[in-house]
Amino acid sequence: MALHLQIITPEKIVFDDEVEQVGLPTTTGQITILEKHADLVTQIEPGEIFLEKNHRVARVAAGFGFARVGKDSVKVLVDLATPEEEIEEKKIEEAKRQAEEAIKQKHALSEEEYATAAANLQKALVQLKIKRRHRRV
Amino acid sequence: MAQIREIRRRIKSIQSTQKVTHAMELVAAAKMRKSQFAALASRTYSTNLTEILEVIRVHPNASHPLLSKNEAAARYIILIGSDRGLAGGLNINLFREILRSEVKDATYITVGKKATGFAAKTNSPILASFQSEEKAPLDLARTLTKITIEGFLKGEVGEVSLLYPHFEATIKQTPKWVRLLPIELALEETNGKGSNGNLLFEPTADEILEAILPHYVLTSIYQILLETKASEHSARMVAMKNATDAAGDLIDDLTLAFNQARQEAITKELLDIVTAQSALE
Repeated sequence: MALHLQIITPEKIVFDDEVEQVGLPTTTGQITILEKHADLVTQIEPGEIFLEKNHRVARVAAGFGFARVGKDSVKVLVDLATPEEEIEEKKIEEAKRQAEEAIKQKHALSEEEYATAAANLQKALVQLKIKRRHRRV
Repeated sequence: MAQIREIRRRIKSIQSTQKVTHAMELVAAAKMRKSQFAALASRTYSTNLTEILEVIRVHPNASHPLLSKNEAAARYIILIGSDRGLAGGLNINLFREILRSEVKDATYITVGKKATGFAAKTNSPILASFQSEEKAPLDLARTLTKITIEGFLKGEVGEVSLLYPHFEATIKQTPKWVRLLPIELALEETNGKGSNGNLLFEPTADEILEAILPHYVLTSIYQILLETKASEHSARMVAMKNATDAAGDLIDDLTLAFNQARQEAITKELLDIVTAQSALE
């Protein structure tokens, strides 16, 4: 029996299938989940979710969120999840630029706006990192 | 003759009204599909978040100010309606629900012009009011979350509830109360599903709660805003469809009356001609 992984964002269910193992970017570092893992609730920060199925690794860029690990299931709730092949470099580049622009005008922003911009920047950077690293290999 | 012209005039006027209501129906139908899709799509996310929260909540070490009651007597009601009318009983049903439950001494936070208008009429204090279309739902949800959580943590308010038109189906929207703060979850103590005490938290239970609770409030509000939009457009589409149908019925009736009147006029004219001719012979 394999792990049942679900990656859910507010917009849609990004991934819903059986996998052999999952790597999650948590606030305390990258962790890998195999089947029969102990019950766990953890917090996700922007980074890379690895999922291995039939010895093939797929990568998904993740935003902020939470994960719940059960005996044979993993549910990942994040505000952003883009599979590697769907990342559009140009768009992300643009988003990154906008976020940086916003952060520069720090004094003109409210606390929330600044936090949103910083979060957007972090998410954009993660997506770019995943996209670019893979291409170099 | 005068009567015929009058009927024809009315038919024309009803026809043009029918065209308008039909156009509005089509517009509402398009918006409805979009907003229903959005509301249903994010339901999975919010139900799963609630599940996680329930698991944490039964954990013995779980405690957080947002989960426990505080002393303040004040109560906030977030009333979510629509900006525009012509949506059947959508807003009226909400207001009736408030009047029925005899809310007293509550401070309102309103979303939508209609809701603001209602709160103003009841002479209740209004803390803040928003238009439902000026901001994106997520931004609006963020602002609402901030207002309520800050008020609650400062001890200015003891309870926050929310009333909105719940989207059940295209033809059915019912007003629904949701208790937002303190966060109250349906505890499943009997079957103890999920929590067996061996639950791990990473980093710690407190830190997870600190992060997940405000996020839970935000997600709830966001989901509710989306549902309200779906309800609004569905209600409007149904109302406009009814109006179009009613106009069609009216036109049918009037057309019948018009044909009768015309036939009568023709018969009268014929009679005149015939009598005139027979008088000549």
